[in-house]
Amino acid sequence: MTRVLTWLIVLWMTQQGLALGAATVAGRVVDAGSGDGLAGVAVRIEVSGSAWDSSAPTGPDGRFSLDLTSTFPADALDTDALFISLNKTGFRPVTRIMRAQRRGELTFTQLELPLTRVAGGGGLAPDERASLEPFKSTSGRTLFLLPYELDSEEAADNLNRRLPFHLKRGINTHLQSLQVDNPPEAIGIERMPVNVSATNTEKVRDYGVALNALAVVSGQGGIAEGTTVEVASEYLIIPDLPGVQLQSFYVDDRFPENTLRSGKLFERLQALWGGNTVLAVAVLDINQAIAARPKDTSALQRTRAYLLAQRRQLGPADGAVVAQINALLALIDEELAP
Amino acid sequence: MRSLYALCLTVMFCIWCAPTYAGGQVMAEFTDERSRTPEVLAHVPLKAVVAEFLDPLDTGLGKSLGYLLWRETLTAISDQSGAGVIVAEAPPDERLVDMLRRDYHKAALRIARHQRARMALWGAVEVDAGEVFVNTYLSVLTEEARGDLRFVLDKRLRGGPPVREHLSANAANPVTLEAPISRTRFNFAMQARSPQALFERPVITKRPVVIRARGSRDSPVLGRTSPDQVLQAVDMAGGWFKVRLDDGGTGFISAGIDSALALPPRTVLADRENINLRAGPGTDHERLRRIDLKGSYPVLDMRYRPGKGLWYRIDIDGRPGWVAAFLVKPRFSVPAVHFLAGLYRYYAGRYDDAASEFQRFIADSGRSANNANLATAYQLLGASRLLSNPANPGYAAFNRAVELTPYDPDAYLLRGVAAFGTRQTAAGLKDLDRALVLDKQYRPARSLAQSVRAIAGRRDDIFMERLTNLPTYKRDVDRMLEKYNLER
Repeated sequence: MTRVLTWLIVLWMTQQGLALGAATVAGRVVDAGSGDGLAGVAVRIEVSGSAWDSSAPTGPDGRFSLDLTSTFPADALDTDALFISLNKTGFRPVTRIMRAQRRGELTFTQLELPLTRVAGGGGLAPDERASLEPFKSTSGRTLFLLPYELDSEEAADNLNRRLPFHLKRGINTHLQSLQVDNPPEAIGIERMPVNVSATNTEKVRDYGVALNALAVVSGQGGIAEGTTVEVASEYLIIPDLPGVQLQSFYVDDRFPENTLRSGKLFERLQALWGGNTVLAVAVLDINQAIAARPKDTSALQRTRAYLLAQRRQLGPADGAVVAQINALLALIDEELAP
Repeated sequence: MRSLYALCLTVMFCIWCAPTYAGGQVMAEFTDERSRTPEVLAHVPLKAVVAEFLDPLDTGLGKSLGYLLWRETLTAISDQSGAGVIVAEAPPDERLVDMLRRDYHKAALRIARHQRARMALWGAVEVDAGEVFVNTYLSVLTEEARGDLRFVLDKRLRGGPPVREHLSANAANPVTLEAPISRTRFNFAMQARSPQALFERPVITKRPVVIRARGSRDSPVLGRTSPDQVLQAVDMAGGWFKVRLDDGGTGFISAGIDSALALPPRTVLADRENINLRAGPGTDHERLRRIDLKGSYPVLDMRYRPGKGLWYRIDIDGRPGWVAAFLVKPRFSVPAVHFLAGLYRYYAGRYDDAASEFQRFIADSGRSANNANLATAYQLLGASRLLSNPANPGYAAFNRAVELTPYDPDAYLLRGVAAFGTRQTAAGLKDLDRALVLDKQYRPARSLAQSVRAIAGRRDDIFMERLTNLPTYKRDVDRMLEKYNLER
């Protein structure tokens, strides 16, 4: 009996080991402009609220790798997603949310993670800028939408046909759900008036600046392994705030190809869209309040209130977003200090 | 023209005063803030509005979902007196959904406010590759004090709006400890369902109902049902159930107020042993056998009998039998119906039933629910448990809410009030401190701190002093007040 029990325990442990042994994150950080590997990038990986910081930054080729099973306790790996945050001076910090197809399947290899230079892109040519003038947002509260690029044209058409409705509803119901007297105003949604690939982040940002956009939403994806579809969604906040370096947030979703449905994807993206819109609007409102003469302290108080309301909705795994909110709150408190 | 925007809609309503329906139909008109529509169910103190769902691809499912969830809500609150639910639907040439599509929660609240309803359930629906994706939203009106949700500790634990008449007679100026359950606009997680899982279900006629060839009022009449007939719905088309007929064909019956229908839940859940399974709906029917009911069972029929209560006919591995409704728990199409039913119960002070509904919401939401909604459900569950019986383990539910939303001061305030009510004074003070750390300007936190100081420093409210043991911690309380400049 004891022998059978021992055998069963060994078998169970082996299975656990096999299952968890597959939990690896490996990839390469690249310069979004040149595509070259980026050395010296600090990598932080968060799983179930526990974090690991790379002891050494990425090497000359931009590569990094981490065996999660030897770094995190087994129960921490019983989760749906992990966060990879990348930081390098002169580049915009990025957090990618890597979501597993199934709970506990946290193997992500061959990742290619681009970082964009803070002062990259070099702006647009005057005639290009002039051509965007008719589409420019007057209020700065317009979100521009780039169609999702997917391997399957049919799937892309299906997603893009439904996207504006879900995006507008997802964001505005989120803003309305903040428990404050004066939630941020409704956000307008427009399609990007020019064709640009979402992979060209620097160019996308340049267009966003020229359009006075609040943010640019985009996504891309295709078959990752076998019949698994990987869809990466991005929310690029356009306004800058001196003194606070806002992160760019990406969400990487994995689906079995035959279950990729617009509904499933949009549901997963509502938190990304809603939460980031609060951050983007806060940046805009803080900029305007500080620029006003005299300083608009009531606008700062209002912004403080809805940032706190946004933070109240977040969970223990939302550390990266909370850090961003806290940075904005600290700035507001500094501005409000007598 | 936006300010002149006007929308005509037909508001259909129904209240179940078991065993009969009372209902009617009115024309309603909204002109932004003004309205000429009479209030529906004016005599009903606690009511909700269920609106037609947004349906961006015009599949007709928006209307179907509105009717389905309205009828499920009716069933969910069928045993609650003084509660009603209104379904709002636009007439054929108008679109109620345009208003919701433009203003979302604000529009839902406008509809609810106009009908003096406390809650509005609405949503959006679409189909992709044969799967139905249902987004539900709940907007709770809090402009009147009675709409507030809060957890109050005074002479006894209380939920709902502040009521001052129960305060300690000993005190000249009695003090309460209270925390708000302040979230009022819920964006529930999307639910994916097959059309069968939503629409294939029994429908029971209370009175004869017209069967038509298509889902339209000008379509030919195929016949009439008899009263108390069980029809098997196979689908919905707009505001119509498509039902299977005896000859093998199909026909359509209206899902609206013009059809006297009862819509049982598709399934019930049970976890009981030695249940009497009977041949008919009542204890006066023959006992078929005693069995253990553990799991989910399809519902085949549902009957209310005066003096005998509500009964379900359920399918147990192909062998049907009748079981008393109080022995099982209904399971509705989307978790939002359970949340709404929980609020009905909570407002009515039926805390046991409320706890059961919030528990069902939590279980059915699974991992898809967002943290904020789940945390609120746990807060309401904790409050319901403690209010129904202070010895209940409500504190664990408040703990879970804190785990889910660790940056929400309300989560700490609620757990703190629960701690004070169970003489865990140090834990209560710690939670109050944590709430103030998160937002030292947060009014409910400052207000709770002032109340704590009042109880800690007084000698005339014997009940609260003994209940909370706060005078023993007066020094800690003073330190906290000093730390947050709350001395005055």
